[in-house]
Order: sequence, then structure tokens, then C-alpha cells
Amino acid sequence: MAFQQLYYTSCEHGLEGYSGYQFIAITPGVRPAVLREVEERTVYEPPHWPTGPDQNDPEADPVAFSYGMSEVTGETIVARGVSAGTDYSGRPGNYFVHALVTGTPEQDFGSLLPVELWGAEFWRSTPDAATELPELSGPPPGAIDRPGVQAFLDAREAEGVLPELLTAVGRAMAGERPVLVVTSDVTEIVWWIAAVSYLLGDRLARQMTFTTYSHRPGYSRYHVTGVLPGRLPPEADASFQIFDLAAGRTPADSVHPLAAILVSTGVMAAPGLWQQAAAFAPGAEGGMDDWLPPVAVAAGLLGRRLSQSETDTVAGWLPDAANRMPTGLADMSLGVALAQPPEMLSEEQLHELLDLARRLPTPPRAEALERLLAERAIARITRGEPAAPVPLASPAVQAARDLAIGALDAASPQQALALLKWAAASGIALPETELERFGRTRLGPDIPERELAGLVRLHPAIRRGLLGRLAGEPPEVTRALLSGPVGTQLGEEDLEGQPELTELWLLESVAAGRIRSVTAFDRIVDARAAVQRSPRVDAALLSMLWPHDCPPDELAELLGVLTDADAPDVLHWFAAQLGSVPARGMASEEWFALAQALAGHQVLDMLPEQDARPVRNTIRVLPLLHRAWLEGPRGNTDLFGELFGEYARADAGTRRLLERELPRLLARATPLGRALRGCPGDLAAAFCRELDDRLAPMRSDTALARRVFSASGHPDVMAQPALSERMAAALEQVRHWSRHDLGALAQSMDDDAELAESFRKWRKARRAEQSRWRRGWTRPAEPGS
Amino acid sequence: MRPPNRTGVNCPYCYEEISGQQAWFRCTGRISPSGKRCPAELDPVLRDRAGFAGAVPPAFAVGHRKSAATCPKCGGKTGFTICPVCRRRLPVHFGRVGSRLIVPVGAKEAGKSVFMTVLVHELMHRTGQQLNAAITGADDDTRQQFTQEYEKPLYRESRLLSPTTTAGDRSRPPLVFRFTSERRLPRFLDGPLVQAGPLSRRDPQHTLLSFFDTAGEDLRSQQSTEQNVHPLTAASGVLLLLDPLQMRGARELAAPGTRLPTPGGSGDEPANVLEIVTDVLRGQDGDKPDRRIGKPLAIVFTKMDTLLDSLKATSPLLQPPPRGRYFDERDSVAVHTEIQRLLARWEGTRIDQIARLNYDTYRYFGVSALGESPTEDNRVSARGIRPYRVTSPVLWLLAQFGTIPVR
Repeated sequence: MAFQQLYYTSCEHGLEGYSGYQFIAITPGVRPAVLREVEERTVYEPPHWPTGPDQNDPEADPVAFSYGMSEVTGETIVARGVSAGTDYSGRPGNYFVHALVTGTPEQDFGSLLPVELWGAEFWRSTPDAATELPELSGPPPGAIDRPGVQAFLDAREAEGVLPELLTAVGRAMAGERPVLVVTSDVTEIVWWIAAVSYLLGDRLARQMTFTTYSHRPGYSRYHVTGVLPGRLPPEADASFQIFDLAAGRTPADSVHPLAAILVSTGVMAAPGLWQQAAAFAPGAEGGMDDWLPPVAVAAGLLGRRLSQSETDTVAGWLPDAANRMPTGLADMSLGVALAQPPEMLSEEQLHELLDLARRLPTPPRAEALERLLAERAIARITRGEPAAPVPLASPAVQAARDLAIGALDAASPQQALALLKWAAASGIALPETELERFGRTRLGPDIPERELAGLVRLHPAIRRGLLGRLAGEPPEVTRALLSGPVGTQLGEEDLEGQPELTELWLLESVAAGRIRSVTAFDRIVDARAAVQRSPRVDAALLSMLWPHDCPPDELAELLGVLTDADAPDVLHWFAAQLGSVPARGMASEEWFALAQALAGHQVLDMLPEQDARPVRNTIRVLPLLHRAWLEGPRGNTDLFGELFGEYARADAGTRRLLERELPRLLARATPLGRALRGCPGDLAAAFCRELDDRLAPMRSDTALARRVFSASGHPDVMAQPALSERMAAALEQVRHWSRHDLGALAQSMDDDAELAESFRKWRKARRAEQSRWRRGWTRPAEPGS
Repeated sequence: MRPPNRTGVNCPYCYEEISGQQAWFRCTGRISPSGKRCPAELDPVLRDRAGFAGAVPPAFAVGHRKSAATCPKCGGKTGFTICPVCRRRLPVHFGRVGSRLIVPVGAKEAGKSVFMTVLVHELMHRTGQQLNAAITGADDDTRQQFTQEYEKPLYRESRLLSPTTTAGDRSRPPLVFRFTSERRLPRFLDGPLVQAGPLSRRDPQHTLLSFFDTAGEDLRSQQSTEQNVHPLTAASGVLLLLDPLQMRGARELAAPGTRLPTPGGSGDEPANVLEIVTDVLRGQDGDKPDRRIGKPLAIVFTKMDTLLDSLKATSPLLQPPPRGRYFDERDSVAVHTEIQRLLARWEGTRIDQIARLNYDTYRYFGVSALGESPTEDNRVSARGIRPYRVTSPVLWLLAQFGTIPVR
């Protein structure tokens, strides 16, 4: 393939067969759409020189050297339009265009950039006789080269304008406002375009379209357009990026970092930079933003120190871009990022780069990053700032460990806590000796409990260290510490070998409700046995473990450890606990079990008589009460007779026990009448108080009411007039029951016709009394009266 | 005389009919009350259809026609209505004032650009005053383009204009002017007494005039005409400029020393140009083969200064043109008849046959934009620009549209 050539001008005889503007010579095979595109793109109008150049001297008019891509056919068009003076008819304003068209620009341009065709010898400014033009392959370069451009820039001290111009061109190529370069010397524009082309590198330069001159720049479809002064369209600043070199005016927008790198590299060194950058470019780069990271990496490799924004860009780009480049190149890129001053990389960036280093993998880079992150994190913690864990997996862990140990010595409790947590989360195993030393030397009662508890929770070695120190502290100090949050963090394994602390800790644990008293008792006794401490049990220990009443089941359990040799204070403690039994109420399984345990137990013999007697009575009565509870509802009413007998013989404490327990048991007994046979007066009164309570309309105990109604006519009851009256009075409350409850009571008697009939009559008699009362004849008796 | 066959409103820039389409607006790009500002961006439609390549604030459509809309991006209010097809900003009050598209076409070297420049200049100055009317550029582009590229070289620098490039060059948008006159009173009221009385202050009446400067090369064939002179089909009236010196009979009558145009091929023959234009107008939607074209056609013979010497002393073309506040129908008809007669001498009777058989409304005019041939070095004569009857064709068209009175 090669360039197709086209000549276009206004002439009398052209390829169209008429006079006027038309193509006058072309390379055969040019498509009509391309002809139309070239005709449209290359329209040339000479400037209206107000003064200066000779109006009739076409050579004074600017050359419109353009490079662009057809939006219709996609072909590349390079054209050179020049003023041609008058046409065949003598009319002014004619122009001549020599255009090159190719569909394979990569091949046909070769190593030349489009702008380097400026001034080439093959360009024609006038037609020749031929109407058929040959293809043009391998066009020679023209007047533009790098040294020339460098000299041009040097002569103009372009450092101020060039970065801005380069940035503006990049923006225009990204679809933003096109660039208009205003200068009275349009030849100068091609040098600026050349400078931009060289700096943009081969790939981008071939995407940059330009024309050195347009009479109507508002309609110029190029990224960069040269304009003469006074030819800017209305409101040009809003629609274009204006570089008025004649007036020294630029858009004054911020400079793109890539432009800054490229300009500082210079047109002479730019090829090397781009060659290096291309190696790091995954290939999908579009505009300046895409090219910045690989170019920055290349610049870094070539020894340039990256700015903060460049470093950020590289760090942000690399983790993803590395997936699309060979490992070696990714490693080099990573090296560039890490070669910058460490403070330029944020922790987030370092973490991402660490992930990359492990993924590649590049162990030395990973180690460096881990070390950097660990240093950063420890420094943050010592400043009292939060720090994210660093999962350390390289030899950097040793350095991090040393740093952490060093920092621990000077850290406040809060910082130490944060540091130890960070170390644990980062997988740093701190030596136990160091942690124990830390616990022993840095922790103590002077540290706020919350922090101290947090610290001891972290590691057994720290707890060991602290407990080692506490062993030397006064017991009250230690007890105070163990009673708080620190105590909750300890386990028995932590206290191994320290019986005193163990005992203190167990006592505090009981006080805090963390373990049962009896469990603590067993452990303390065992601990004392292990160290041959005597006595193993003393009243002080028991009182501390059971500062109040000892529950019957635990008391029963403790009976098992009593020996003949127990000190009087221990026996006295037991006597006091057992002596309080009547006052505490004993109608439960636990108390029954205790009574069984006590029956025949040597402790009774060991107790003084005045203490032992009520205990013995209680022991005797308790099984009877238990049986009455179980068997009374099943018809065994003889037990009540025995209990009434015990009542008659009992001491005052046992009587109080029976007066409290028996009414409830009688209320369950069936038949009630027989159970009440021989009931002592005080017990009968207590029983009737129970009835008053349970037959009240609010409770409506239907079953009890039936038993009471049935018993009220029993001979054993009738034989006790006081009891009979009190029962009748209690039963009177039934009269105030609700209709529903009365119905239920009546229904409960359906199985006993005689009883039911008796109840019916009782109700009827009561209703008649009520009716008379309503009519004012007589007032019914009040319940219980 | 039938009114022009018009069904809707056409964009004065791209000539597409837009009356049935959604209303479109362009954000002003200024900071809105909410503090936002829409950045300028490339508008591919504006670039592809109108050729403007710069960045502009965003465009958006609204449901129905109104004078202002709120930008959906920044919340700012805008009154910048744009054409939904080409996205160019439409002149103020577009759609609410009359809009007439006048397309000057003609063969190469007929002097279209010079004619249009002198015509607008005359309307702006002399004729405007005469008709108590004003003509002004309707947009920034028109004002800058007309002043810089037409008026300045011709009037201030006395240079002939460069040939117009092909219409495919989208960098040359149509020139749009606003013709403002006083609203006409009913004829029975339009007497001297009323004009002196309280009714003398009448409301303004605006008409947009769009001139599309075509290249002669674009009229070589029906195909190239259809491709490049698309506005022809949307035009309210057509100004067909013909160079009589392209006609063999007229060349012989030209004054000695006249700079004769290059004899062209058949494509440059005035009758052929008329045939091509007629075919294009015939081919447009809605044209019925059994009816004449309703669109008014002014057939304008340019460079008449070179032929005045060949006319009889009684020729109406030698009479000074009337200077009333109306279009003088009697004078115009006299000129029309005279040119009809001259066509026979110029060997151009085919022109009259084509016009008579195809057009309902057509008229001949003889004009000279410069009043004298330019010098050999393409400059205006040292005696200056002395236009001759150059506004008559447009005044005739305006009279057809009802914009100016006729007597």
C-alpha cells in the first residue's frame, strides 16, 4: 500500500469536465466518498490582510497543512493547501490542494510522524499536465526534525506555554474543547505542533489531528488549529482552548502531570521515555490519563523523582495493570513506586501494593512493604491513632516483633492494649518472656481496671506476669483487683502454684456470683491439702463462702466433710446454720434430704444440747411433714394425728414450724373431716385462717370448698364446735362467689348425689336469707362472723 | 397568484422542517441558581450537521414549545432555542415571527456572492430607509461573517470576493437577517391622513430572511444540485441569477471592453441551469406533475450594466427605479416584459418557455450589483459601487410574501 495523491483547484478543465473547483489529478482508484471528504476538509480561504503582505502575492498567504482522519471512510488524509491567486477566469481567491490519502497509515508513514511531512519536497503548489498521479510510498521527511524543534523551543523559552499547550491538546483529544493557536506567523504553528507531536510520542501523535491554518476556525474539525489574529469566532473562549501566542494569552488551566513529565523530559529524550513507557502499557491506553502511569514509571526508571500526584497515579494504576504485563515488568514498576520517599504512599496504597507483591510474587518487595506497613502502624499506635492490622508473612515479622516489643516498654496502657491487639491481628507472636516481663513490670493496681482487664485478657503470659507481681502486694490490694474486671479474665490455670491468690480469687469469684460456694469450698480445701495447710476448713472460710444462710442441699453436702477433728468454730457455724432451720421453713425436698442426712449424723452428738434439741425435733417432724404432703391428698389422714401429737410435745421452734406448715397440708388432705380429728385449737385456728384466705371470692378454690363443705358435716368436725363454726364462717364466703364459680362448685359435687343435694339446699337457704334481707326483714350473717 | 406552497417552519440554517418536532434548548452555560454550571462539551450533531466544531453547553429537548426551559443538568433557565435537527441556536423569536428562506442560486461566475453582498448592504442602508424598514444580522455568525467576509472586502477594500466553495463545505453557514418593517394597515386606512395621525406608530413586523450562498459548481447537474443545494427545496422563494453574458446573443451586445466570462460547457448555459433548478423543485415532496410550481421564482439577469448601451432609449431598464415605500408592480411588470423581449435577442427564448410552463409565479429582473465591470486586477471600479435595481428581485419576493406593500 502507499499514499494516493489528489490535486484540487479551480480550473477551466478538470476531471469533472467543467470549469471551476474540482479535482484535476488523482491516483486512480480513489473512492468518491474520499474525494468528497478531501474537497470538504481542504477548503481554503486566503486571509484578508488588512495591511502588510501583498494582497496579490499568494505566497504571502499561510499554508494550510493538515492531518486528519475521515469520519466517513476512516482513511487518513494529509493535505497541503496553498493560496493560488486568481483562477483561470481571473477571479481571485483560488487555492491549490495537494492531498495524500491512505487506509494503512501505520505502513505508509513508516517512522515519520505526520507533522514531519511539512516542507517535504514532494508537495506541489501548482498543477502539472498529468491527470493521473502515481501512488506515493515512503515519503521523505521535510523540514521538521527534533533538533530543529528543540532549537525553536529554546529560542522561545517555551517552558511556560508548552506544558499548557500539551495539556490542552490532550484534553481536546479526549473530546474536550479543541485548541486554537493564534499567531500572526502561521509557520510558527507547525513548529508548535511538531513540539507537541514529539512530546506526545508516536501513538498519541498519530491520533492528534491538526491544521496549521483555518480561515474559519469555528468550523475546523481538528484537535489543533492555527488561526490568524482577529479571526477567532464569537465567544471563542467558551468553545475552544485559545492559545493567543501573539497576545501572550493562554487558557491558564492546570497542567496535566503527563504534560509536566514530557516537557521536563524534552523533545530529544522523549522517544526513549515513550519506548520505555510502551513496555509498561497494557495496550488499551487512550488519552493522557491512561498514559500517565506507564510514562511515570518509565520516568522513574530513568531516574526521575516522581511528584506526589505521579506517585499516587502509579500506585493506583499498578495493582490492576500488573495483571496485564509480564511479572518482571510489574516488579520493576513496583520498584519505582517503592523507590519514592515512603511518606508519598498512603497506607491504603501500601496495602494494595503488598497484595500485588504477594500475587506476583516478589518476596523482597513484599518484605519491604510489610516492614514499611508495620513501622507505619506501630508509629500510629504510639501516637494514639488507630492502625489496621498488617498480615505479615515474610521475614519482616521479626523486625515488626522487635519494634513492637520496643514500643511496648514506652507505651501507655491504652497504647499497649492497641499494640498487643494489632500484633495479634497481624500474626506477630510476641515472646512469652517479654509479655510476662511486661505484665510483671508495667501492669499493676495503679492501671485503670478496664485497660488492665483488656491487657490481661490478651495473653496468659501477661496474666502470669501480673499475678507474679500481685503475689507481692498486700492481700486487700490484690482482693480489690481480683474482685473487679481483672478477676473475670483469670482462670485457675493462671493461678496455678499460687494457693493464696487462688483462694482469694475463688472467694472473689463466689462473691461475684461466678462460681458456686460449694465448688469454691472444695477447691480451696483441695488447694490447702496440696500445700499441707492447716486447718483446711475454718469458720472464717465458711462465713466468707456463705455470708448468709447456707442452702439445705449445700449444707447436706458439707456434712460429708465434717470430721471428728473439726474445730469448735466450724461446729458452731454448723449449729448456727441448722438452728436457723425452723425460721427458714423446711417443707422442701432439699430440707427433707438434709433431715435425712442429719438423722444419725455425728454432728448432732457434737453439738451442745441446747443446739441439738430443736434440731432433733425438726429432724423427727420433717419426714412426717414430707409424708403428709405426699400422702394426705391420697387418704392417709392418720399422719395428721401423729403430727398433732408432735405439736403437743414440741418445743416452741418446732411448734412454729408446724403452725406454718400444717394448715397448707390439711387443706390438701382428703377426707378433710377425718384429718381434722383431734386437731389442737391453735392449729385449727391457723387452718381456718388458711381457709379464709383460699375460699375468698378472689381465689375461689373449688376443690377445697367441696372438701370443706363435705367436712363441715363430719362428726369429727361437729365434735369441735369452735372449728365447726370457723369453718362455716369461712364457707360463707362461697355465697359471694361468681355464678360461674358456684356452678363449677355445684358441678364438682355431681358424683355424690347426697352431697350435691345438701349443697343445693344450703344454697337455697342462703338465697332465701338474701331475699329476706333485700326486703329488709333480716340481715344475713357476715362471712366469718 | 397562488401563495407559496408551505406546510411548516424550516430551520433558517439547515432548512429542515422543524415545526412538528420537539422543542430543543441549549443551556446558557452560566452558573445556575443552585450553583451548578454545565461545562461546554462537543456536540456531535452540531458538528456533523452544522459544522461547528467547538464545545458548547449541553442541549436538551422539552415536551412542547415554549420560550424558555430549565436545564435538567444544572437547573438554570435558558431561552436559547436550538434547531432539533442541526442544533444551531435559532434567532430570537424564531417560530413566532415570519421566516422566509430565500436561496440565491445561479451558474458559476453569475456573481451571486457579490449580488448578495450588495443586496444586503442596500437593504441595510438605502432601501431600508426608503421602505421605512431595517435589516440586521439575526445571529453573531451572520453579523461577523457578513461584515468580515462580504461587506469589508467589497466595500472597504474594494476587492472582489473569492469564488464560493462547494456547499459541501459546512464551514459557511447561511446568512440570516431580520427584516423589520411596520405592520401594514388595511389598504382603505393607509392614506396620508392616517399616516399623519395617531395610527402612524404601528407595531413592528419581523421577517427572517435566510440567504444560502451557493457555489456555481453545485448546479452542474440535478444530482449535484440535489446533494449540495438542498435548501432549494425548502426555500420560500428562489433567486435564480443568470449571467446574460453566458448567452451567445448577449455577448455580442456587450459594451466594448467588457470582461466576458469564460465560455462554459452546456452546464453553464442559463437555460440549462433553469432546467436543473426546475427539476429539483419538481422532485420535491408534494409536487404534482399536472400543476405548475407555486414557489415564486425571480429570474435575475446580472451584470446588466454591460448591456445597457444595447437597449432602446425607451426601455424601462433605462428608467430610474421607483423609490416609494412600496413595491412598484407597474415598473416591475414593465421590466419583466422588456426582458422577455430581450431574451429573443439574447438567444434565450427557451428560458421563457421553461419558466412559463413550469412556474405559477415568476418574474424577470435586470440588475447590476457593482454598476460597472471590475478592473483587471479584480478590484471595484475607482468610481465605486453603484448598484442598479439590485433590490428589486428581493422586494418582489417580499411583496409575494406579503411583507411589504404593493402598488
